[in-house]
Amino acid sequence: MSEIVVFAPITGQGVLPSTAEVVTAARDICGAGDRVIVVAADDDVARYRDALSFEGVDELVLIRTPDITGANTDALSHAIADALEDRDVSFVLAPASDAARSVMARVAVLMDAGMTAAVKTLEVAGDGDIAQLKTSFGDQAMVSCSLTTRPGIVTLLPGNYDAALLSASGAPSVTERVADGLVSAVEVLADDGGAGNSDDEVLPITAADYVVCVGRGAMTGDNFELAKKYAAKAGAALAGSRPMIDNGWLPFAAQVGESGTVIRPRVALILGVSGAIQFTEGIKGEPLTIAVNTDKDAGISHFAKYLAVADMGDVLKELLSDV
Amino acid sequence: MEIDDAKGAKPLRLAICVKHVPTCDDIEVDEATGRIRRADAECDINPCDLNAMEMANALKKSVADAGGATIMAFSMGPDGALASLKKCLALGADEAYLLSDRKFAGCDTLGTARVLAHFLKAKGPFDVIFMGEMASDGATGQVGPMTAALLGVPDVISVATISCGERAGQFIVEQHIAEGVRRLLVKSPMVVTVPFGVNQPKLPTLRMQMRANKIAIPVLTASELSADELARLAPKSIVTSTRAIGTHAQAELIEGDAKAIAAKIRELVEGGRQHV
Amino acid sequence: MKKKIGIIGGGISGTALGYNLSLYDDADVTIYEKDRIGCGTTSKSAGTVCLFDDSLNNRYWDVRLYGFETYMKMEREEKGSAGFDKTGTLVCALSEKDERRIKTGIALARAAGYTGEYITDKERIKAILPMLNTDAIIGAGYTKDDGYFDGTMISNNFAAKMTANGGKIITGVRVTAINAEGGTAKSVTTDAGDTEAYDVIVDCTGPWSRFTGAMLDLDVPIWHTKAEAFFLAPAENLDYIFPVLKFPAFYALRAGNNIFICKSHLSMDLDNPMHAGQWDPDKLPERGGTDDYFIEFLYEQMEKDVPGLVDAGLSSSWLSYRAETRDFLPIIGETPIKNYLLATGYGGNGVIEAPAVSRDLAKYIMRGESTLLIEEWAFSRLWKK
Repeated sequence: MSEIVVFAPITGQGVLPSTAEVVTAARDICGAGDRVIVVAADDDVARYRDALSFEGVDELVLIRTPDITGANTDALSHAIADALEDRDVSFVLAPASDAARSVMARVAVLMDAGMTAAVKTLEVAGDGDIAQLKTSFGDQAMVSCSLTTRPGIVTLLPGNYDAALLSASGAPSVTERVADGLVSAVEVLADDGGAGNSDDEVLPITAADYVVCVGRGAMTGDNFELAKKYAAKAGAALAGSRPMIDNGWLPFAAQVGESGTVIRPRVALILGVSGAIQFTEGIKGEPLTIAVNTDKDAGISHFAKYLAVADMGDVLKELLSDV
Repeated sequence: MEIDDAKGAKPLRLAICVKHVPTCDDIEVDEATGRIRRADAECDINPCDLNAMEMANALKKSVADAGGATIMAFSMGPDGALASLKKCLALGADEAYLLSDRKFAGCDTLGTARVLAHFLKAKGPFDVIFMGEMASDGATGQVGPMTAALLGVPDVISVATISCGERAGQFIVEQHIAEGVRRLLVKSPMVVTVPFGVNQPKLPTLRMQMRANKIAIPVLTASELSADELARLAPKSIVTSTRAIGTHAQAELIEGDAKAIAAKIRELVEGGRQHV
Repeated sequence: MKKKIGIIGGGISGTALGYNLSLYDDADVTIYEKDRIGCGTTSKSAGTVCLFDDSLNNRYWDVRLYGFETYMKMEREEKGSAGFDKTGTLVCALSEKDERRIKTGIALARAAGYTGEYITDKERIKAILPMLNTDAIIGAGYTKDDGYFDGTMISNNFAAKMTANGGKIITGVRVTAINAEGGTAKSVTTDAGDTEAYDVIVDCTGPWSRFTGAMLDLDVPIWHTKAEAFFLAPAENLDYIFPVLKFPAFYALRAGNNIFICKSHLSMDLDNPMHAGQWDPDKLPERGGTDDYFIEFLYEQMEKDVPGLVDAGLSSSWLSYRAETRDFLPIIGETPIKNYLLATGYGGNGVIEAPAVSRDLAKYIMRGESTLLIEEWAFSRLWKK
């Protein structure tokens, strides 16, 4: 009999939504007699009581941390570790999100606990151990991990568990704590959600999570204009292969390839690019690659993960039309 | 820590920790051991470590007329990691240290943080310790905050900029959060972790590369750790099995007319952009 | 009945030969490429086809001119299809011997209708390339008419023309055996498990040729010279056209706003282990892999001759293996194994030489008619030594 703790990070926008998925993961590995505990800490933690009352949770621990919020991970981690110290905790689960990353890593140090981060799913092994399944080497390998300590700390990627529902019958048993005397070396000066890039700034191709790459195929008809329009609409950076730059369609700063720039987006849409190695050398970091080309045997078919054999103009027109 | 009111009266001491990671598109798993064949893989400095190096250089430059700064680079790993340290030197680091020992080989993130913390303490104190946000091979982002906790200093992740505050020992740090940008005043020492793309790393020049080739990089080993410290390096998160996921030699075809293709692309793009 | 020809290797050598063979209506051509077209050593070629430089002896001027004009025709058919960047070329002379060779080249270029002049006025040389230090130079040849091409684009272009003529390309498949009976090559087996019979089999695998030849116990006398190349990013964008720059020890050209720089192939010593050896090209990393000594070499050269690049950023680098013979000329045509031919060992000159060689070799394969080139670059010249 032990406790499985779900750490619920509180952000400027309240309870992190993916916490509900972690609650489901905790329920999934819960053995007979085990209890699921949700723990949250904030300067104004009582406010989130209802939002944290998930179905299937045995206890909600609310830690009030005067003057300490999500930015003060140095102090917050002490409050969490102190609250867990006297309990029989087998696992601490948290969302694999920036909001929990620093706190959980610091709790691992404070409790001298093993930690496995960015896990996809948990599996109860034959011997009762809880295996953590995750990808490694940019999704090229699947690894199974085991933690040797109790508690063991695991952060879970979103999208692999259904979200637990909020309890219809209200809060489970609630334990309130106050963590006094916490000291942080971090002071929040401004929490400005509005700051950031203005819209008319050209997104540099190295910073974009989504890059639309055009090649020689874009020199036909209004394909280039369509690609430009689509990139703007999708919030993507527009890049090109060498012929597009040589022929003056795009500036050198937008040239992807070994004589230009190496990009590491999350997604690359590659339109009308033949896929010579000089170009593909410029896309790194294992992004999702989708190519549209009229030639199904083009070199790009050996590089991209997905290929649509089609006219890029037709596809762009469809992408630009609203669903 | 002695705090001097005159900004930058003392030179800043900056550290950067980098990781040498595989860059190749195809990895191989040794079927007998279930481990990645690292020796065969092409490796380079972890991409966002270059953004961290750029940020360290920018901070160094900002205090050039006010006491200046030195940058010390650290990397834990086998001899190959010398290449990544050399890159740091070519980009402007003043000294570099390789933390290398067979006894470090099995470290998990907590063990790695313990090794880094030990040598950062030994070579410190540092005002700011820079690290890349996460390694491209492990992608956990734990080592920075863990190292900070072990050193008993704050950490700030997802840092966009750092500059000197009004008083010595204080820094203004801008942090990317889901809602936008958060501005923090942080007392040093501290660890900051820097994501890919927040700045445009400069390239090493021919001249700086020549200089880097002439700087010796000392190797620091486990002999500098106490028996107690060594015992604590035992991994607590253990990989029990690894299998390669088949990579695509040929693209998967998206079938259908332009409308169907666009729909599939929309779906793929949406999913892919959310994937961390 | 058609003559069946199997070509191993889809770089500039294999695709140029495949295209030239496909022009004969009684040829049935298949190219085997283990990766992608033009992605091996061809992709690492700088693609310079200059009207007068020291890359190929003036004895073979017609080979150079034919290559240049082949690609210019490609560009006329479809702009950009050969990756031409018309930057002009500046060839620097450090000795009177260099000067004589450059002047000969200029005369030959002018005979073919191109411009070219030998300049001794250092101010004028600096006007063409302001970042140059002219102290060590006695003069320089200059033409506005040439520049560099792209070997990968050209290979893909040849491949497309060949398939339009009915030729076949099999990519992503590795040849695992070349089968011979009684001293005659008969068929090719791949790792896809297929065996296909051919009337003629041609090795176009360049740096891989020792391994390809070994499948028939044929010793192909190819050495690998290291071609270490860097892309440099100048501290400031250049407001002039950086020409192809040739020094005896290195050459440079622009790539967008960057400068590509590489050691020249004739400066390599096959007996110096830092320059040359025999390696397995499959073990070579696709990019990177350069040695520290090359940085030193480059730094010394730039400090002396092109100081404007000493503070340029090192953008990326690669190490390529050039396939060279002891006389730095290719091996073309017959081998001791009947129906097994070579078109390999182009070294640093594949893009220059492949069009003329392939034209002649295709005719030899289809009609048995030899040419001066086939005779001078025959395998047999290397046996005598």
